[in-house]
Amino acid sequence: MSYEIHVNGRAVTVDVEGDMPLLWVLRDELGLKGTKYGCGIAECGACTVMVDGQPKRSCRLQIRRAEGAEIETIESLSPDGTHPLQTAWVVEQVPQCGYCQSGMLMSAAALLRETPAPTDADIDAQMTNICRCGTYQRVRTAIHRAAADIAATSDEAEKVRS
Amino acid sequence: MKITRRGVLISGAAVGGGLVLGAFLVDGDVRDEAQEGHADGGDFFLHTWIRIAPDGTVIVLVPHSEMGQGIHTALSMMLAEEMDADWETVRAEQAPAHAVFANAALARGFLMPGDVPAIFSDMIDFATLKTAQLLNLQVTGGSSSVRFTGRFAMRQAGAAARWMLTKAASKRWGVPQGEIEVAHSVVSHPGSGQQLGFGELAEEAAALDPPRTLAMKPASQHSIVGRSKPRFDIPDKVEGKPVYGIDAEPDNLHYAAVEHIPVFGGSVVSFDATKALAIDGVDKVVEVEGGVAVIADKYWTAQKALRSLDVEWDDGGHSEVSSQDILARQAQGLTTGYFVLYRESG
Repeated sequence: MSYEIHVNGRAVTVDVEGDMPLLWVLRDELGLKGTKYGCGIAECGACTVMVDGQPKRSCRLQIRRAEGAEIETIESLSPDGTHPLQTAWVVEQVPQCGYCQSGMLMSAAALLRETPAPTDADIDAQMTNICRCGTYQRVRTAIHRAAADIAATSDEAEKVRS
Repeated sequence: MKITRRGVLISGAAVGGGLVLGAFLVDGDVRDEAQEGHADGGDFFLHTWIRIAPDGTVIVLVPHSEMGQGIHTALSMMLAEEMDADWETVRAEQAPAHAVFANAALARGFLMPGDVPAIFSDMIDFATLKTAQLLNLQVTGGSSSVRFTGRFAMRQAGAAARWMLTKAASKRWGVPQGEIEVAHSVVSHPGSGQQLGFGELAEEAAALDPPRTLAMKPASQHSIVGRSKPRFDIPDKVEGKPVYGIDAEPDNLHYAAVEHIPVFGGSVVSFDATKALAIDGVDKVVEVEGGVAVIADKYWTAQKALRSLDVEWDDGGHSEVSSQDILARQAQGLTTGYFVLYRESG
């Protein structure tokens, strides 16, 4: 079967079986390997991407149910690694092995879109990604840093306008 | 004196800080091999693990895998410290999977009989010994990278490079090597006010052979080691760029998915692969230790085909065993004497 999806702003058509999970479409059909395969049962979150702005575990989302959707992967977070979350991730030295971090970042990006100034409770509720290295504390600190950076930037933009 | 391989390994490791290892780690032939086969245009190898670019950038080729433990950064710090390199101009690369970049020179040093002082230190334990034996491979593990490669090899390599650069400068300027200073990748002669960058001296330095014994800096003079430096591997990781095992794409790659035996101690009695083999993309179905594997052109195809397998399992008589059963057996073992007492309290 042929399915059309929009990946990182680009319309693509893939010819695969309808039950192929989006994860494998991204990795094997489109060569976007920043998104990782972890548990395969939608638990760990290593495969998290945004589907129409919502964070989704792509390992259990069949392509036929994603038809026409806007998909965003780690490759689209910024062209040069300068998204406020990526900057904060570097400043706080978040990743260790890094395998889960694409999913972490996409979950965090989705969180900040909905909740620009998240509390610890907000972060804990949304960030259900599992990290074997145990980066949770740094993930939380980095999300707060990114949220503050985004707020500071928009404050400045506000001042320039007024 | 009879020197056994084991004896040389132990004493070689014990005196590594400047005698045995220092000599072999900067083996000129190995360095030339690196230069001939692996230098980019204009770069010069001062050691198999140190390449200097024309602009003075110090590239450290680390023979261990970066797995998030920070080893590319840590070993580069140890090397840069002894080299007096400007940390901002240091970067790390994964050493190619080639014998030149393995610790082959080090292993050869260990195995060469010679005037090895029979010094033993309490640092030498079984793990260190095993690690030494493995050093002619590119092995990462056992906390050996910093305490062995770093402590006994990267620091020496850095000190050797510093010596080569200062020697090159002393020849060019016609001044004693001892009057030359190095700081932040600048080689200078305070008496005459002359100075040059690493990149400008690299070619001449690369032609020199450093002495076998070089003193390491005392910790009190460290300005890089002992400070927290941002890890080299993190920027790529926030962009999803690193290539993990699952991302590798060797030619003609196929994937296997395994249907595991559902019970410990069980086995495969028989399986019918007819339906699985009929699936487009499935190559083979084979029995493997612990289950039955489907091999296909894509991982998803292999995984999905597992559902079409018809396997008859033997449970080995264990399918009814519960956690309670195991606890009961352990309790029974305590009363029948099949145990070793490590600690008793209460």
